[in-house]
Amino acid sequence: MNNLVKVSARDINVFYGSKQALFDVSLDIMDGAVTAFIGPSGCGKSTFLRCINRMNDTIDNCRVSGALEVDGRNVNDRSIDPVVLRASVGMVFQKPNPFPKTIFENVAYGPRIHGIATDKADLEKIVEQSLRKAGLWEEVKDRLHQPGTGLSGGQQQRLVIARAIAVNPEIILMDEPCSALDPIATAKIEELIDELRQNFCIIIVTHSMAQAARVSQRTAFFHMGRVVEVGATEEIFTNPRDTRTQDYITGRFG
Amino acid sequence: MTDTSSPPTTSLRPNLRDVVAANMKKRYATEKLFRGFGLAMVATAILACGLLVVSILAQSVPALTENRLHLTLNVSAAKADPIGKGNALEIREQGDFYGMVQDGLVERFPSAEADGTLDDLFDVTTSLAAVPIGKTIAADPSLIGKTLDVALPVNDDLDLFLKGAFGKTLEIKGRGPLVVALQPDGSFALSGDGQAFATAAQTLRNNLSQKAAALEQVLVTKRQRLGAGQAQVKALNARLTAAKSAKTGVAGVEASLEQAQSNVDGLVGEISVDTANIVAFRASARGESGPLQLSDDKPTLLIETKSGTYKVQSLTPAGATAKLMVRPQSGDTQSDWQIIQIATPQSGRAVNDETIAYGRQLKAQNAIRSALNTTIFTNSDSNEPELSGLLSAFIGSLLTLAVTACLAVPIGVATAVYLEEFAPKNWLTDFIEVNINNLAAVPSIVFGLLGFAVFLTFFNMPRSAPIVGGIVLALMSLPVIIIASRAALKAVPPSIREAALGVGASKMQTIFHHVLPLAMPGIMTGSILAMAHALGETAPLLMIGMVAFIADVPTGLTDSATVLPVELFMWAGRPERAWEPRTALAIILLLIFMIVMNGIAIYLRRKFERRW
Repeated sequence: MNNLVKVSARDINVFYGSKQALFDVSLDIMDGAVTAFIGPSGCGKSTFLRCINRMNDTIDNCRVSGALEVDGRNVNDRSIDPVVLRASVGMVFQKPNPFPKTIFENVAYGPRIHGIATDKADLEKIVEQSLRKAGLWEEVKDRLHQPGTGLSGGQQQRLVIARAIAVNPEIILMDEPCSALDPIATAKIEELIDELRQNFCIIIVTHSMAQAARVSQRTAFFHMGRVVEVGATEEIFTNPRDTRTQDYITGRFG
Repeated sequence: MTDTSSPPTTSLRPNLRDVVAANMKKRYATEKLFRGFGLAMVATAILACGLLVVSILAQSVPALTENRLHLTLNVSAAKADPIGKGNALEIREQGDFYGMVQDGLVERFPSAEADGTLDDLFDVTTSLAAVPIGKTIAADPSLIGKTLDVALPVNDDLDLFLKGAFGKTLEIKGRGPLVVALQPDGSFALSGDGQAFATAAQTLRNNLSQKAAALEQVLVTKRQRLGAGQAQVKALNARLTAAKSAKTGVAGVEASLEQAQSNVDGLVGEISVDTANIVAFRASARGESGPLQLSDDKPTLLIETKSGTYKVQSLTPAGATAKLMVRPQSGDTQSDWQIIQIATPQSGRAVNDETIAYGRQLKAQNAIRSALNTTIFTNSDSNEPELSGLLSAFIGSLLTLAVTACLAVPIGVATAVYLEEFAPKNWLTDFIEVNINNLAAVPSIVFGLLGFAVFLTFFNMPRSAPIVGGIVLALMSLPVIIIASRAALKAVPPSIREAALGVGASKMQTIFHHVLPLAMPGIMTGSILAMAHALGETAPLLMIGMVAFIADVPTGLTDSATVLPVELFMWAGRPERAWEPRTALAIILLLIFMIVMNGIAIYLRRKFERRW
C-alpha cells in the first residue's frame, strides 16, 4: 500500500431537492488500496460514491457542492467532462446489469465507444484480457457470443467488472457489488477485488462489515450524512475512536 | 427473533385456521365469480367478432365470382380505326369498340333486330366494359383485321340474377317435343307435355295465393291505421266546431283536419287497390277466370328450347300462349325444352325478362361463364358495379400510408426521446405533455378541418392528394405514437442507463445504443397501432377531398386519389343492389390488408427482439 492520495474530497455537500444527504464530507482515498465505505442504510455512502464519477448528475434535482479532486483535478469543475471522467472511473452496481447483448459486446462496448481498440484483433485481445482479469474467461470463452444476461448472477457481476476494467480505468467504484449474490459468488468477487487492487484504486460500499474487514485496507464509516471515522481497516475494527463507530461495528444499531 | 418451536398463544381467540377457513369459501366464491364474468365477456367478444366476420363473409359471397361474356370479335379497320391514322391515340379515341361487341352479340342472335329486342340483347353488358378492348387494340394495332377473344363482365343485375340473387329459379323439364303454333296476333300457342304445364300452373297458383295472404296481412294493419285516422278526423271535426263557435284557432285546426283527411283518403285508396289485387290474385290462383294471365307484377314464366326462349303470357294446365323472346335457330327441333319460373316479378328487379332470356341463352351456349372475381383487384372505381375495383383506392391507401409512416414515426419517436430523455422538467415541458395527451383524444374530423384550412387553403396544396392525406393522418397519429414511445422509453430499466453511463457512454450513446433498441418493440407496437388506425380512417380524408371518384390509378403523391375506407364508404352509399356484396368484399379486403400489415409488423418486431 503506498500513500498517494487518489481521491481527495473537501467539504462535500449533496442535496436532493431540499433534503441534504451529505454534510461537509472530507475524505482522502489512497491509491493502490481498497477503501470500504460502511454505515447504516441512508447514511450517504452511495451518494458519496456517485459523486466521484458524477453519476449524481443523472438525478434531476441533485446538487453537489465542495471540491472533489481526482489526481489533483476537481471533478466538479466546469472544464471536466463527466464522460471523460467516467472513462477513468469505472463503476459496478448493486444489481448485476449487463447489457442485453452478447458477452463479447458487453466487454467490448467501453473500448469501442472510447476508441481504445485500433482493430478487431486488438478489441478481441482487450476482451480476453478483461475477462481473464475478471476471472470469467475460462467459464465463458466458448460462448462469447451468447447473451450476457444468460449468465448466473455471480458471473454477471464478474462480467460487469470485466466491462468496467476493459476501459482500463484508474478507479473502480463498487456499490454493494455482492448484496445480490450468494456466499460462493461473493467469495469469488472478493477474491477478484483483492487481485484487482494491484492495478486499480478500488472503493467499495458494503453493508457487510465482515466483507469490509476481508477486502479493504482502509475503511470510512458514514453516519447521518457525515464521515465519522476514516482509517486503516484494522484500526477501525479493532480500535475505533468514535463511540458511534464502535456501536455500529458491534451491532448496536443499524 | 421469533422462536418457531413455541406454541401459539390461542387461549383467548378462536383457532387461526378456523378463522381463515371460514373466510375461504367467500374468497373462492369471489374469485370464481370474477373468473366467470371474465370468461363470459371473452365469449361475448368472440361471438360478436365471429358474427361480424360471418355476416360480412356471407354478404360478400355473390361478389366472389363474376359472370363474364366471352366473345370472339372481328377487329375491322372500319370500327377500330375509322380515321385510318393508325396511331394509338386515334384508335383509343375514335374506335367503336362497343360496336364490335354489339356486332359480336348480333352474330350470335341474328334475329334480335327483327324481333325488336336489340337493346335488351345489348343490355347483357355495358359500353364501359368495352373500353379495355380499345386499350388492347391501341397497344397492338396489328390486331386490326384479325379476330380477338375478349371476356367482358356482364351487366351487374344480370350477373346477380345468374348468381341466383332474385330467388331460386324453378326449372320444370318438359318431356317430348314442344308444339309451337303461330297465332294470327303474332303470339305463339305452345303445347306439349301436359304434366309440365300443369306443374308450372300449380306452382304459379301457390305463389299467387301466398302473395294474396301476404297482402292480407298488410291490409290488416292498414285497416287499423284507417280506423285511427277516421277517429282523428272525427275528433278534429268536433274541435273545429268548437273553435268556430269560440272564433279562435280555426285556421290551425282546419290545416290539421285537412292533413288527417288526406291521410285517410290515401289509405282508403291503397286499401281498395290491395283488396282488388287480393281478389285478382285469388281468382287467378283458383283458375276461375280461365287461363292464368301473367303480367309484370306476377312471377315470370319462360319456356326455353335449345336455342330459343318464349315468355308465357297466359297459362292453362294444357299449354300456354307466349311471346317470342329469343328466336330459335333453324335446326332446333324444340324437343329439348323446359319451363323456367322466376319468382321475382319483372317490376321488382332492374333487369328485364328479355335480357334474362338472352343471358340464359348465352350461358347455355357457354358464352357466359362464371369465374373468380379478379376485376375487383385489377380495376379502379366505376359507375358500373361489375366494372368497379379497388386498385386505385389500394394504391391511394399505400401512398397515403407511406407519407403518414415517413412523417409520423420519425417525428413521433424523436419527440418522445427528447421529451423523455433530454427535456428539462419545467412548466413548458409539462404544458407540451398535457397538450400531446389531449391531442390524442381530439376527434379525427378536426384534423381533417385543420388539413383543409392549413394545407389546402393556406398552402394551396392539391386537393384529394395522398401527400395531404398523409400529412393529416400523420398529425392524427403523432400523439398516439409519442405517448406509446414515451411509455416504452420509460419502461427501459434505469440500470441499463446507469451501466452505459458508468462505462463512459455519452447521453446520446446511452440512448441510441441501449435505451432506444430496448424500447423499440414498444415503440413499434404503438406505431403499428397508429398506422392501422390511420389505414381505417375516413372522416379527416373526406374534409380534404379524398372522397372523389377516382377511375385512374394514382402514380404520385400529388395525384388525385382516394383510400380503401373512403371507397368503401362511397360504395356503401350507391343505390344498385350489386354494390352491397362488393362493399362486403371490399371490407374483407381492407381487413386482410390490415391483418397483413400487422402481421409484417409483428414479424419485424419479433425479429428485432430476438437480437437481444
